[in-house]
Amino acid sequence: MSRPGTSLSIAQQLRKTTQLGLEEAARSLDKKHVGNNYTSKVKIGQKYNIIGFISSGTYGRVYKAVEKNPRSDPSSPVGSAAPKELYAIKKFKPEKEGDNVQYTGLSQSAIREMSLCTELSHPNLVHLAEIVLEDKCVFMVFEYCEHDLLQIIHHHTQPTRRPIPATMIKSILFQLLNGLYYLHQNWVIHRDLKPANIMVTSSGHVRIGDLGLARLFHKPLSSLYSGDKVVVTIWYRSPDLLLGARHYTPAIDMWAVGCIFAELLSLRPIFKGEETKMDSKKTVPFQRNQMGKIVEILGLPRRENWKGLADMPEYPQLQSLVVSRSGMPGGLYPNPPTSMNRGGSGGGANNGSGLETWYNNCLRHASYPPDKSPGQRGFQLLSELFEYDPDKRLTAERALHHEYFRNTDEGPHKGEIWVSNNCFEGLDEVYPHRRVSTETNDIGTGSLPGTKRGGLPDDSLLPAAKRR
Amino acid sequence: MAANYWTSTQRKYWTFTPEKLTEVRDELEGQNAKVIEQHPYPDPRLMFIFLRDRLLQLAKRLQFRQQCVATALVYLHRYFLSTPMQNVNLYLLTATAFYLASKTEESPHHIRLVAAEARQAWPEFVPGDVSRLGEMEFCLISEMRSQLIVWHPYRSLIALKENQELKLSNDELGLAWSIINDSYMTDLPLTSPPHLIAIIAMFLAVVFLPTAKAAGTLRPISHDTLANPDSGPFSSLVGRQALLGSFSTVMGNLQMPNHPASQINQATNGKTRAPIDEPNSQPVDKEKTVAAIKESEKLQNIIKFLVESGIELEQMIEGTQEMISLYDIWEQYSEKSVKDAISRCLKSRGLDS
Repeated sequence: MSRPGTSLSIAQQLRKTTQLGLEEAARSLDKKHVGNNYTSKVKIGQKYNIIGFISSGTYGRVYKAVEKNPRSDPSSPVGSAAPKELYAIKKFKPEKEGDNVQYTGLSQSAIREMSLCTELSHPNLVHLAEIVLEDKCVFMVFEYCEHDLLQIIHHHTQPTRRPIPATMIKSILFQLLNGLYYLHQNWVIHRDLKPANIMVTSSGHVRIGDLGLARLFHKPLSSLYSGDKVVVTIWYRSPDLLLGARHYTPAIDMWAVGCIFAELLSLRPIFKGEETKMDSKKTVPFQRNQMGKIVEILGLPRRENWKGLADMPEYPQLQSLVVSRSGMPGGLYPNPPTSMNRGGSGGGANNGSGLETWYNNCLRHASYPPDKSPGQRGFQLLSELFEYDPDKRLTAERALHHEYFRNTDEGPHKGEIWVSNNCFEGLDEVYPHRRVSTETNDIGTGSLPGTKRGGLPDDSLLPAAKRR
Repeated sequence: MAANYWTSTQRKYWTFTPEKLTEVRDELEGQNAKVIEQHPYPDPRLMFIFLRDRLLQLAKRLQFRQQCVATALVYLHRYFLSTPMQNVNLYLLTATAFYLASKTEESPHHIRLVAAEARQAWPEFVPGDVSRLGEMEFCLISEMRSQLIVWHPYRSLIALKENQELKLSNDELGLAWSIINDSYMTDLPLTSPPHLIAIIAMFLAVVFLPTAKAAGTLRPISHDTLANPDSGPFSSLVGRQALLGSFSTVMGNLQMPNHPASQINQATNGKTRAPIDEPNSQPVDKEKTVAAIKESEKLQNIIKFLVESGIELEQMIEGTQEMISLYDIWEQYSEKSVKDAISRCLKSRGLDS
């Protein structure tokens, strides 16, 4: 997760934002009758206290915030009020920032996320509280999720590698599939599933986040490929996309689920390719290195197993991958495969037994106790998610009924597909809180009218270990 | 059919009973009585014909999809529930609705392009300034509470096409398609679920087809449109007057199980402003039409389908009436008078540019 440039600038910016808001409100009084000028009905600064900054991306920034309690006296001492709801406020940045922010039209990704999030609602989807349009910016107010999978995976590599408990992986996966099933049922493809986008609440509920790339796939009718050419962080990109598929299908999300499953098991991305950048002609390049990483473990896709393979636009490229593989073994990959990946080398045509080797190595390294291991069923699930042919790849619905999820523990649910919806259940591990950067000249004071820092929660909200 | 129309914000928040709609509008008019009185606008349906044509004007040079125009029209309908037409620069609003719909329908245009196109089309009323369009986008999104996904009847019509019992011909589908396009000029998008509108359109298409054929106003639907319905022009029903003439005749001769034809007739005649069964300008052989329809197994099948499908017949009849009444008032449409009314209002209120 990236750090803010300087927190001071955030403070300044928010302050500016709020001042602009007031001026605009004042101006709007004169033009009240006119429908052409925009005044926001809700003011972010009046409703929420910004606690700190969480992360930033191309879209804008995410802040941690707490709702001000309108009923409580703002001067009352800290802690006297009931615990307040926490929020993650995603602020879509305007194209240009600075003193003279102008309306420039909202980005496609903001529009997508706004329209889908207002439409969708599911326990395994990040919950949207409201959207505020203010000062030429969009603020999407989400429930606050304390963790995400990237952070959880990272935690298990520090200071030494400790496997994520099998029950936890199972619960995470089941909840993820459940949310994905809902999305797919509603004709939405996420298109950017990766550990950083899978949130986990402090009570162990998994929430799929970041619908900025998601889109409806039943919406007719023109090729889903048009518009945005490149989708899905490269390590999680499915082979059909890598080979130039023109139509997105829910199967691309399922591939990503496979990658996430593998990463939860081994604590590192399974196909960690290097992205080939777009050339000056703006043609989408073939991601040779990424495809190579997949082939290294799964073997080459074969026409007899994937009907449409030969029709894929980049199929000839795949041929060249064969040549270079057999021509100079290892030549494609400057770095020798890691011990985790060694099983894949030479797995060229042996039907994914490379994956089995990878999987078994992975379990061995993790040394799960025999009764608490993802077992062979885990391998079955993984290999069905890593089906090359998108038409044969496991769907979210079928995955939810997979034997892997059948409960073998003694008890009332033995023999049923039954998975806890709290991925931390029965575990002692304490995961660090999300990093939030705050500053001494805190964002709230002064800049947000009518507020005091009184509502700011105590230190427990700050990360246990202070930032590096 | 779309699995989740039933949980959509469209169904939850943007579908009203006619009574509720009247109530909302009465309240809005009450609050803005003075302005509305000072600047009377023609019938909203005529306004919408005008606005649709403005959207199509923009769409002429910017690549667009039919559904994008339809979505933009729904956005306008929603916007006018909270803002009287007289309070807003309709040209700027139309360009904004087009711009926003192009994004939600996943065929986005750059704001600069839309602004430039709008500026060129209506230089008196649209500032070249991109930020005005961007600001209007905020107004539009905010009034719609960020609920931007719209469900349309086209998909349902395609589903009806697949229905083996109905055996709809391409001619009928083409007519129905145009009727759906026209439904955006009425309140139907605010009162009826998309599948009901599709059924209304199908029903009217089957009723109209013999007359359309006889009058020679049938425009063949291109194979392309059915295969890729989103391309092609946003076409309207052609030869409306002649078709209207046939409608009441047909209705009078129709035996509708459980719902006597008289009821349909009543509904039909009760609400129209002008009697629609008057002989119209184009001579149509009514008896021939009636005979054709009586023989039509198809209509019988459709009526069977309507009864069996459990749709709200009452609502369907009202919707059918709304379409008929649109085609009736359409004859009064004058682009110039709408345009002048808008110009006067914008200028006197200082809403231009």
